Amino acid sequence: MKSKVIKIMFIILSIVLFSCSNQKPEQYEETDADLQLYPDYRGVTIPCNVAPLNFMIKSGKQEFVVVVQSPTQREWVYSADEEGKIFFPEGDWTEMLKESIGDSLQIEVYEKGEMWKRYPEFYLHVVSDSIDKYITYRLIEPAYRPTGHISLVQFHLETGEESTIVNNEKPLRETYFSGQTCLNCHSTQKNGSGNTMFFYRGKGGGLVVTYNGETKIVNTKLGDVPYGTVYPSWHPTQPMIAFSSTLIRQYFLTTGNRKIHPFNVKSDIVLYNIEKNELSYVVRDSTTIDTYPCWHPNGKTIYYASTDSVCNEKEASTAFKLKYDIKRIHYNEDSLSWGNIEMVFCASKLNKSATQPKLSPDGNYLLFAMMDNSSHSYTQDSSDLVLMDLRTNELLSVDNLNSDKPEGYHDWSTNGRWILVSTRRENGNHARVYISHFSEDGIVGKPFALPHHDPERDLDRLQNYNMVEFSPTETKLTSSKFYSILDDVEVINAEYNGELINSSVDAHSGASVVYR
Amino acid sequence: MAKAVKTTKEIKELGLSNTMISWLYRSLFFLFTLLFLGVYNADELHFMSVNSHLIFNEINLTFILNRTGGLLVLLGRILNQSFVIPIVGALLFGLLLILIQFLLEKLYNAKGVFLGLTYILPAIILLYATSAGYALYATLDGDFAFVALLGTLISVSLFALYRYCSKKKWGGEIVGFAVVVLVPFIGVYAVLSAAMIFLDSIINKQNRWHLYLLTFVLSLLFLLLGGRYIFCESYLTALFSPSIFSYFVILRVLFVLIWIVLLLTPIVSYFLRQKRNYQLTKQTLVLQSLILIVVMSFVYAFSYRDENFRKEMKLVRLCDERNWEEMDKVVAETDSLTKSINAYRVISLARQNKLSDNLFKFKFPLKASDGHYLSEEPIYYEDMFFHASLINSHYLFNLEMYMQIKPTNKRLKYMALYALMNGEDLLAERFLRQLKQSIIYHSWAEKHERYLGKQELFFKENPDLEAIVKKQPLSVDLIRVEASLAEQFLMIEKFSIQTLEYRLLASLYQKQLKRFLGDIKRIKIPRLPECMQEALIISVLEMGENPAILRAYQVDRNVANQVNSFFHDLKTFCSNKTKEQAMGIMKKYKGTYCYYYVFY
Repeated sequence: MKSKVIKIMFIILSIVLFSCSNQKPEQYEETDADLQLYPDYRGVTIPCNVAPLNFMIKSGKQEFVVVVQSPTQREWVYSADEEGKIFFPEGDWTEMLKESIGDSLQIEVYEKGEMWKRYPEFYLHVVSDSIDKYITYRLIEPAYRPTGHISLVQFHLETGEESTIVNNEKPLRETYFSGQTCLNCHSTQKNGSGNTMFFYRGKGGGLVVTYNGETKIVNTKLGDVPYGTVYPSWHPTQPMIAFSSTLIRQYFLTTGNRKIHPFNVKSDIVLYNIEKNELSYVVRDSTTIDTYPCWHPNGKTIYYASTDSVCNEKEASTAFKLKYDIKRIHYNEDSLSWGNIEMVFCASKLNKSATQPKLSPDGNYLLFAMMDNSSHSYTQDSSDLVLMDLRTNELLSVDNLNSDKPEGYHDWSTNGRWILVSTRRENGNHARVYISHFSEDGIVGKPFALPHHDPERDLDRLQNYNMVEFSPTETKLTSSKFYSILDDVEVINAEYNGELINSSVDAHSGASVVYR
Repeated sequence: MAKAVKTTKEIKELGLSNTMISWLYRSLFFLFTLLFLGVYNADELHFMSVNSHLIFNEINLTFILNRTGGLLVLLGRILNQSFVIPIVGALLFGLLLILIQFLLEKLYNAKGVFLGLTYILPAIILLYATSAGYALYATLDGDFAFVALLGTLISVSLFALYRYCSKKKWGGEIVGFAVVVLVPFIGVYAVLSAAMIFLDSIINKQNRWHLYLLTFVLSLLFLLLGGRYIFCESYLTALFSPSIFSYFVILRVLFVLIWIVLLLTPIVSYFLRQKRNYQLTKQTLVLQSLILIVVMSFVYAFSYRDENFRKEMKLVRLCDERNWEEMDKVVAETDSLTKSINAYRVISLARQNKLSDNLFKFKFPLKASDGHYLSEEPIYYEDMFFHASLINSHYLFNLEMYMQIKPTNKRLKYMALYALMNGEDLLAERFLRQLKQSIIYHSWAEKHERYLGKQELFFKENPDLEAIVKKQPLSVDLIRVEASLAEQFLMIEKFSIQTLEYRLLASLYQKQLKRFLGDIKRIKIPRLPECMQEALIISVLEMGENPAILRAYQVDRNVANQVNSFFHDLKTFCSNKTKEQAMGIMKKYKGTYCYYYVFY
């Protein structure tokens, strides 16, 4: 409802703007002055089905005119509003994209002063690769211990509409200070089935999993799995989700721009079978800390981050010495058993730490975050994404994706042509979502920021985008529905399958060092 | 209905009419409100306004409006901003209270001794606005005062409008249904209006009372179901929306009292309208005055009047203004310090470089606050870490309180300051942008925007903030956030001479003399403050430290004598343990470190 009202207002605004004297200045002088845009869409590569990339000119409070030219030389002229914002009407935008597929839209900005000035034109490169309709994420203030206002949100990439799936306002308004509730780890099975899961950590909560239209709430923190299950990865087709069962701690830093250092004290990989309601260990090794599982698209291997460094919770210095490598473990679908563990990327040999492995849908590429230490990429400026071609074991350049601030929590679109990344590049503290094109020949384009209706939305927002994922389908849950389910559905305990798997396997045996 | 007011000769001789008396009382009540709110409760009002969160952008406005009675919350929050200059806020509050009284006077048609009845509702609202006490620490929610005032005013106005319109065909019914439409915007106040209208229709035996019953039922259903299915609230939350949270019993009782008085309005109005022939005599005048005095005394007597709470509020404001001298005065006037007052005492002393000489000069044990809602730590924690130069910890607490308790404009201001001090201009820009969209801090944000990218200028024009930055630890230390300020100082590896002073005091405060000795040996201090000299003597006496250390640090002979004398008296006390001896020791040694070391 709210988004519809916003949409109508937006259309009215667009009509008003469009009906204003949108004339391309005939006389002007060229200027090389730096044009400040937010979001900075200059030179980005965009999909053919993306929502209008409205932007704001921050260079001053002057009058601006923007001229968009398609490869067919067709022109659209718009005036910026008094805040310097340019809103593209949806109809125009669709036509612009249609006429520019495989080519570029040229954008010129004119500024009115005593005389009109023309800034250097810039381009939006439009590719025929479409993008998933939705992304989902968690909005959370960038604090460290308590939980405040949290929302699980989905963003429609074709319309720019943002809608809340579930938030924790209801319990907050009832209990306020005395009670804390957390929502996290929303994840969708990417086979288009609409199966989703998230955690509601509060009264009557647990793992909230919707499978084949049926929702159940499961307690996965049992005696045999004493730590919370986090960082889910759906099996591509089967009713199974892999998790880390992790004990996380954090230290804070007295000085400097970096404020927090989270680290895993203990962590294992577990698997939850939805149909059997069964929890079992995939990797449980007292000498390693294993986290961030990721299923291979063929459903036969789990990739994960692992370190054999020892972490003593009470000795702060050990928290800085955790160096993770990327490993994998094979799964036999027929015998439902696990094979040997293999080394995939030995970052520790480079005195680095690699984490959050994500495989491209064709299984050819592995994208992961690499930083100085630990497995939590979002707090370290050194955290950059690294792309590995699994066919050749070569590392490919993804400089376009990276910045001098933390990058991580990335994901592949279902067609493998888009990569999203959660990055703090804007101010080092607030995570924002950027999306890059990934071409068939492995080239990563300059990323674009989320196309909100209001280009200032991410400037006004003080929350972080967290656990961002592509989703091919809409999540149809709402807060109201969820809290009704919470009232009606009883929490069930997952059953623990006591058989320990790979507890005796040497993590380094059979390892193949693939770094070149 | 005739409502003649007969005025006796003696009253006529005084030159008074009923209208004049009515305005006279109104003015008196207004003046009382002005003084009670704007002067007596000034610091509380200021606290309520700066701890409000009103940022005019789509995200924040949607958040405020997305609840039952959201519009009323927004309006209340806007008016709450006026409390930043307490007397202005009190003026506005007083005027709106008087408007309620005026409307009730018209609705009741109250004259003579019954005029006093019209002050009951404004008095309860005034009481409600000033009764939060320590609950304010728990919620920082000052908006409730204006929300209740506006809600009541709207309820009464809608009822008055119905009365006016019901004289016309279908007029009353239109108002009745309009009230239903208002439910999502003003919440329970719309339901109260509908209930008042329905009651009025019953009392006055109106033909279409069933229509008013329908509007009442509809409004109640809208409130409950709208709350449940549109705003995703529980039925109870919706029923009490918009209001402060349910566990503040006093406020809840007063809130229900407002409901009751509102619901009684049509009944009282009916009975007063039946009454005729008022006579204004000297006796009724005295009685009226007495009623007004009782009403005002009731407000004063039952309002929250904890002197320490008021002082804490004042100290919070003075600390924000960095008015250290005034803070010292407030502390000096306080007989028994609370945890918060002591914390602000320490901050003020530290900022005036007087901490070492005075840290242990306070009366302990500290007095417990008369508030059972929550620990009062949140109000001084951020200030304490900020002025102790642990600005990262300050930011962490600020951010956590922003999330966990409530976002406030003041917290945004401090986060912006932190970012400027820490050289994080892009982060500062984000917070300043928010503050530019506020009312109270708009100009402050504009002023500070010019410091972006110009840290030198920022420090040049804010030398006191530069002093804080310069006192930061020299190392990047890992700390556990649950550690107290003193514990955090003990976790620091490298420190400047100023930080060392804090660290030594932290060791003394924690009675960790071994650590104190370890640190003091690492650096040469020209003249040790008395408390540290005492600590050295204690370490010689109690821990077998080499007495040469006393010479090395030039421990004053008088201090040594005093410590010896203390331990001698203590020995005597331990063998007899009489109350007189205890009092004697306290009187003689209060404020010394050895007294703190043994007795605190």
